[in-house]
Amino acid sequence: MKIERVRLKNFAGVDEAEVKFSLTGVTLIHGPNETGKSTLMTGIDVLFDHRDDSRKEEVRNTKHVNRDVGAEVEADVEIGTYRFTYFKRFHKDKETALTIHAPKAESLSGREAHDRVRQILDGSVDTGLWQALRILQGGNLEMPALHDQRALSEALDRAAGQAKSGDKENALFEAAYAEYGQYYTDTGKEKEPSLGQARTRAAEATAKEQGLQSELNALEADVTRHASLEKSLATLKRGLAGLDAAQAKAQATWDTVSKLADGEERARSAKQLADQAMQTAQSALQQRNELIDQVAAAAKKVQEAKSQHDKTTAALDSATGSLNEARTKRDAATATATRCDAEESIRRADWEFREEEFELVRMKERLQHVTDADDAAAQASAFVSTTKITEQLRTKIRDAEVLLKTKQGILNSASPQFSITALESVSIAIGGEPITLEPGQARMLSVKEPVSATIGRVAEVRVEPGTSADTLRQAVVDAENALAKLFAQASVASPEEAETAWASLADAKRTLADRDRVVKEHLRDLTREELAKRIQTSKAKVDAYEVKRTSEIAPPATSDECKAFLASATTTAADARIVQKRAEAVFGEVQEHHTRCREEHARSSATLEREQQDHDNAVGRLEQTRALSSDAALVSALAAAETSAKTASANFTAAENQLEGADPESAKSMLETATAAAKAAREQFESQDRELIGLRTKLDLLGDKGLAEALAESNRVTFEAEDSLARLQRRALAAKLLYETLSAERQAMRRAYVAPLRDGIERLGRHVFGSTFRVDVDERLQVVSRTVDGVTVSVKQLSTGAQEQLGLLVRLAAASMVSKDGGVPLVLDDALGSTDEGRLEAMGAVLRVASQDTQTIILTCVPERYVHVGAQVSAAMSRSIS
Amino acid sequence: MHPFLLNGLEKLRAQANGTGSDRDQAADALALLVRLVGRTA
Repeated sequence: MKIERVRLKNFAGVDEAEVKFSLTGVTLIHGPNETGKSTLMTGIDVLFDHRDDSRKEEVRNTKHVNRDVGAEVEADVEIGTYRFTYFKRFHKDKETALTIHAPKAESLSGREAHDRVRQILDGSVDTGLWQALRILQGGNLEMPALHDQRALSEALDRAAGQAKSGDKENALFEAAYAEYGQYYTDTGKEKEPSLGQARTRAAEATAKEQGLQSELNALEADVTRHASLEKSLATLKRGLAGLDAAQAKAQATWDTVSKLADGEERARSAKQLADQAMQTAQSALQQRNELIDQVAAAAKKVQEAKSQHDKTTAALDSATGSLNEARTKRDAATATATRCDAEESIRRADWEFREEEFELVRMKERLQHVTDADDAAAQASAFVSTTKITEQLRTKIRDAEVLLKTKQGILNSASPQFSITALESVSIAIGGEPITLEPGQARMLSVKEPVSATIGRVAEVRVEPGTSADTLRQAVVDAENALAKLFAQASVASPEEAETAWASLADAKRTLADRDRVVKEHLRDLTREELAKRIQTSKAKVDAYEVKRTSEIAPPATSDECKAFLASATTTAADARIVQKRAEAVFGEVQEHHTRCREEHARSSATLEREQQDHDNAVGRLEQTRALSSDAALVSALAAAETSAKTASANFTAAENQLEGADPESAKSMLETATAAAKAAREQFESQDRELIGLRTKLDLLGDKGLAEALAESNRVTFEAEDSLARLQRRALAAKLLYETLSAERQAMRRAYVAPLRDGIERLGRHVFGSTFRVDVDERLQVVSRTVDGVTVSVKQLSTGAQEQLGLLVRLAAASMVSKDGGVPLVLDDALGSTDEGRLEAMGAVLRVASQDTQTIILTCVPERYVHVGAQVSAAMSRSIS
Repeated sequence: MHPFLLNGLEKLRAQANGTGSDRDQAADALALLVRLVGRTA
């Protein structure tokens, strides 16, 4: 069947829509939700399945949602050689119209038209398969129900090369299964009501037969035993009389022996009493002698203890003397050591005192240095602040002085020179200054200004310098003025004074600079206050020591003397301590010896006391026993007891000889043997008699039971039960073999039957899942599992997408198989919604290949999903609900 | 008759005519098959 065109008008939610389909390949109908895509298929179903006057729900649902008009559907259809246009209007103005175009033109209407289309459909279209191959919205994961679809079954039968089994074959197979089911369950176990019961009956009959046979065998044994017992009892009865007579004779002999044995026993008792009396007397005498010995031994021990006590007393006295002597020496050594220690302490204190005193002096010196440095720094600072000399001023003064001297030198060199040489001693006044020249002595004068020289009363010489000398003199005056000005600035009177002031300034600056070094050197890590405080503390110590010291000997004057005295005192104290330790050790040893002697003495005292007590006790016991019986009386009693014992022993020997002559062992043995033989024979007789009575009673009872007849009947029943079981088993095994043989063959045929569908699925599926893709299809044409790369997964365990793809592959394979017979359209409504992009491309290729001979109609609101299909026809539907 | 019946029949017949221990059982199964064919005819 192929659908060429569908038209809907006023149908459900669709006002009007018409779609033309490609007869082969894919027709893609796309549009948004609620545009009537799925309604197209509903229209075709209603058109084929229901008459125009139907009131079924499917028809009622086609009524237009808003208009009260008739719902129309019209389709152009091709079925085999038929091509026709089919129209129906429901609800209002109901109408059915059929126009057959080929193979022979016909026009029909009403019910006649409906029946004619049904006739064509039933003859050519597998409507069940048509429904099965659809994928409805939301039904992607369902596998199509392909079993019992006529067209597909026929296609598969043809592919398998045989006809499909008919009702007759199925009925025969069912009959074989029913026969098998009488005896076995579906799992192959025997059924209890048939084979089990028969087997139980046969087993019970056999058991009963075996029981009866056992009873009969026992009966025969009892009869034989009864006869044997009767014979044995007669023999035992005769033997019992002889055994009783022998027992009586042995009893008489034993009685005689018993009397002799009593006499012997009495003599034995008398002998034992006499022996006991003699032993008692011996014992009493022995105890007396032992007491006497104990007193003697105790006296000896007392003597030994006294001797030992005397020795320990002497040793203790000696040790006490040694201890007192050692104690005296130890005390003396201790006193000496204590005195030496005290002297050492005084010498150490003296030394520390002198050290402290020395340190105090040093600290005072340090503080004085610091104070001096501060004072010098104050003076220097005052000088620096008052002095006006500077390095620049000092240099200017030096330069001015040099300039002055230079000017003066020039003046001197440029001035007229004259010399006076005395020819005889002469007094000369030059410029008022009197000088005396001796003969030959000369005096040179430089004339810088007018000068007069009076030579005695002889002559007055006046020399005046020339004009140039005045100029030079004026330069000297200028230089002097400049120098005087600088002197005024520096507050000095001469260059020497300036130099002195400059040197003092340098000294003051050095003093200021040295002050920090001096302070740091003498204070070190202390402040002035801390140093002063230390001095104060040290002084207090020194003063306090002088007051505190009580020794009559004055402390040495110097620290070194103190140190020497201390060393001497330390040595003396160490020696005294060694002597003290030795005295202590000697005292310890002597004390230990004294302790041991004291313990020995205490032990010997205790021993002496104990031994004396033991001696007194022994003497007391001896005196007590002698008061009861003297030593002589004990000796006499022993002699009498010995005589009685000898007499009793003789009497016992005589009785013993008499008894031995009667041979009591033999008499006893004879009596025991005769008694035991009689008893055993009687017990055997009584036992066999009881057994005989029991057997007789049993045989009487069984004789009435008819065991032989019962056994014969049981044999017959057992045979019948076993025969019945064998026949039943044979029938069951035959039914089993027949069913299993037919079932195996049928299974093999069915496997061949599903093979084409499986091959078709695998051929298409390799495009999607790869070359290793395999499926397992059961007899009901259901895909059971999928295998990819050797991994087999059941369909239910596959992902949603894989189940969806597999469901579509099955439909495509089935549709391809039936397409040669005209087939049915494959309708996919909103399929592959869970398939990813990669698989969509592969599924598109599969759809294109599989739809070459098949009419495939895809309804979707997502046309992009099928872009890889290459649809023959693509039609859009728009929203048309008014 | 459908091939699966024919195949089963041939298999049982071969067993019944053979010398195996199951020949009697196969003969019984054949007899049963005949009875069932008659019953379902």
